[in-house]
Amino acid sequence: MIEQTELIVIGAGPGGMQAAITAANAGLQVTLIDGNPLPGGQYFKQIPEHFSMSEDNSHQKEAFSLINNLNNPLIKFFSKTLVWGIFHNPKTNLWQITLHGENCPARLESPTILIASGAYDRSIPFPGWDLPGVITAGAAQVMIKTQGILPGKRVIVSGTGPLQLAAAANLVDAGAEVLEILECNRNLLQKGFPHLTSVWGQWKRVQEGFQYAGSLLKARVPYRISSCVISVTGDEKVEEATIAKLDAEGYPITASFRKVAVDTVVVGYGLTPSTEFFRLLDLDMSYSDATGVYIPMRNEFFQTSHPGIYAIGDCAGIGGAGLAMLEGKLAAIHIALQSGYLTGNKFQSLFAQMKNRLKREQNFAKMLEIVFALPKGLSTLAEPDTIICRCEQISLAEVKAAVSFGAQSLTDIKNITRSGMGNCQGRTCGSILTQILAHESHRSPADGHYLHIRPPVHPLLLEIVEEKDAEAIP
Amino acid sequence: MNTKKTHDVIIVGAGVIGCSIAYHLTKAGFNVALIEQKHVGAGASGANFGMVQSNDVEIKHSIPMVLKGYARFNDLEEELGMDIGFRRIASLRLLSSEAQWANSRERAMILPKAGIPYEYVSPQKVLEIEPAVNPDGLFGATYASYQGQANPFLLMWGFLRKANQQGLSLLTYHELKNFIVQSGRVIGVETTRGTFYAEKIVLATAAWTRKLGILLGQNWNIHTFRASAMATERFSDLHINSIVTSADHIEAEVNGPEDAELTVMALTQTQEGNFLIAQADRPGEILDGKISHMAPRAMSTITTRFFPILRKAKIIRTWTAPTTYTDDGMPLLGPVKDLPGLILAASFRSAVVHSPVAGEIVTQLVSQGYCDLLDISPFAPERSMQEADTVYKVKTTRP
Amino acid sequence: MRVKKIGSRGQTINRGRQVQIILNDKPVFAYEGELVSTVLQSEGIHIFNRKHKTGKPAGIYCGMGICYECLVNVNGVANTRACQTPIEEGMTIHTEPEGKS
Repeated sequence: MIEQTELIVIGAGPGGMQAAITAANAGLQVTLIDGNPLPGGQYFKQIPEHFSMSEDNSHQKEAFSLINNLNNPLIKFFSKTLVWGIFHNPKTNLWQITLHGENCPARLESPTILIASGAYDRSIPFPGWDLPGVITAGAAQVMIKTQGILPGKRVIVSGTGPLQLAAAANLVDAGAEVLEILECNRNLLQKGFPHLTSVWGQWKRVQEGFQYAGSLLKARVPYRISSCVISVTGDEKVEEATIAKLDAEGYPITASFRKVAVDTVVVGYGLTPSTEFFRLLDLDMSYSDATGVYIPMRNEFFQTSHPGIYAIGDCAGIGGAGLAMLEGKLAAIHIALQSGYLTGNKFQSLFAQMKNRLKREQNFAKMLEIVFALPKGLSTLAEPDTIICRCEQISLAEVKAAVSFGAQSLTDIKNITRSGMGNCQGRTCGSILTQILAHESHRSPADGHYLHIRPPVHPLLLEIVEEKDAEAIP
Repeated sequence: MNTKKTHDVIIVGAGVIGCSIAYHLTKAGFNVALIEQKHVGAGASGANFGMVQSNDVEIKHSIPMVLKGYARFNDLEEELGMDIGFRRIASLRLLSSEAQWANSRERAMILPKAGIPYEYVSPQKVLEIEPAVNPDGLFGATYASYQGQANPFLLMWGFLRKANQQGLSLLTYHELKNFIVQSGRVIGVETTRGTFYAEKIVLATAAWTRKLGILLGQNWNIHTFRASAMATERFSDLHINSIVTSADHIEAEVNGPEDAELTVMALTQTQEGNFLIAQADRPGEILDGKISHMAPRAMSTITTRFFPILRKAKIIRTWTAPTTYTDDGMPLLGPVKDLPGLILAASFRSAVVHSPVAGEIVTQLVSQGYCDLLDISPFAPERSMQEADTVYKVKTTRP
Repeated sequence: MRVKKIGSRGQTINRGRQVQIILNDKPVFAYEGELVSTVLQSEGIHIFNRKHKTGKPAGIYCGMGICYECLVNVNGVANTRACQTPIEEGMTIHTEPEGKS
């Protein structure tokens, strides 16, 4: 007999934890699953169990209050556990997930799955971006804040938005020399001004921003707008970065090129939603210009085109932790309503209480999206021999050749070139291919569709698929 | 909003057969549109291993056709001006019992006479050819020393690249909704993105053919099963030289309504070093392309039975596609008798090897109204079928 | 480089107990709770593997298990993500020059 539960929550970041807690408080039996050893996701990423901090800051305290609420007999939490497939079992008419972890069952079934798989750093290819020493803003933060390891000594931070500022502040606090912070956008205040009201109720964020600014000011780190790293060179490792001023559309201005000796380049071009489960399930999707990928279509309760599948948080569109938690809460009470744990009246009153805050969070996310949208020129930094698909080592020239054969979709490009067929399954190159195809074929990025995902969502030893299943299925 | 466009020929289905037909027709100067509901190779053509095999041929009527198709691969790369990953490779079908061998005995008498190598080899010989095979319970194998393999995607794009240069309109993500029939003649198709008219409509629609036939009041005799497959990472601890298949399905009994169960395994290693592993699931018209919840496990189990070392290989991806067969093992190939304007080219056993010759045949049918390249009368879509030899068929207890 | 002070107000991070692992056939000390990638970094190793087709060097990129750049051999299992694998006492790690070097 395959184990069953009333709600499966995939991803124990802020949104997933909040959803699990809310649903369990309403009375549902919940199984929460995450690949990391501890709950928290990227936003509330925890130091390892064997480590300790001299003092907890407000961010960590907020994380603990959420994590402590997972101590609920109705919540079963599987950490270090990979959900490698979601299937429909025609016999039980339930969703069936396949898992790999130390203490989890091999399969688990439920009528409802809430997906809160988060997001990861967006990639912009430029010459040398695949050299060791070029790391994402997310990588820099994880290394410093949860491992106490400094990625480099002389660092340039290049990208856009608040996340790269956070990474830069972490680097400075941990003792790295941050030479410059390059922001590829311009007119930040002008673009943000019409949306200033969206900052209402976001004082905590503004405060966080001041904290970053404090560290960076103290270290006198130059912050340059309309600039970015356009190429990196070095013998098997980053040694030198070329910096350029960008014009209004984000194209580098040749006369402005200058070279700086560095050992590390941190790139932070915003986030890509982790949409693999939605693509696996073939849900109805729509193209999102802001993120450059297809995201699932959802109703106001974050239900996707499959009524039993909910999508909340950054995986369904970048909105940050605050929005993810609100979405998780609302989705959870809707699931409670659907499963008979909440009356219609109770649901309506809870929903009414949340509406305004939800709107505020959505406005704030929209403001960030507009101010820190990626300028067009950035998608043309790669040279013909720049690697686009790092796993299969496919160059821009090869991708362009595929377009010249008549490729009309990302899948066509993948099939011709192998780009996206490797270990990361197109997570890094997928949105890059979208931009190249649109640029080369003069079509809308949406016309390229998206790379399909098939189980396993991460590579898995054959013996695991074979033997773990033998336990679950007599 | 509908757009009205007129072509000489509309081909439905951008699989390997449709792509080849598009290449051959545009080469002959026709104005052609190729309509595809998803992307190129979204069905079985994008899910197979590109086996250019003649030894799996239906042996009563199809040998001349498969030989013509097979011969075309000798200089296809030169003709298309592109590397399609073609290589010569042997095919080894592992047998676990005498009954499995008995099933192939007639084939072993007929094929060599037609110039297709095919013989029984002993367990010792199997281990000489593929030392990593698990010898437990091995009865021997059938061995076809001279077969081939191409990259199915590059083959399709080799045809399409040329066809595009020759003026093809490639229309992907156009799903066929209905046919337009006027005075008993098929004159066009309605798709999700417009209506298109043509003198001739060719269905190269494999597993979707039966469903489309119903729209025209036809009951074409095509069965569907799901073929599931998976790819591993590059795996350096094992190198195999042949395409290895199994025959255990001959004694297998299939009885649940939906679960994937093994009917046959096929295993090959790409030039990059990845292993590709496939199986045929139970028969059933499931066209959504979603892999069954049981298929990854079934594939892993059968693979490790024959190649235990592959336990340590990592699966990167699985996939599935609806695949077809007919009761007599022959394709539905030719003009549809009661529907002028409509030509069928569907349900080839080993579509890859047949693709070049299918393109030639359909081009003859379009340009001169008949085919004198070879006798295609046994493949007439409306024929009545008798059960043929069943290399890939499983005893099915339908629930 | 391992650091202790990581917070804006001087907060420090304290590590777990020291354990021994085998890195490229040599014994190396690491701290419980560290990731394989952390140990390689602190040992000054930037090249975790080489790309099959081009022989190009690869190391850490995304740091969160997405990009599969930081692959190493851990306890005999090839292509293991260094950034997702906590070290264990006695673990053997090989950085892999897969392609040409």
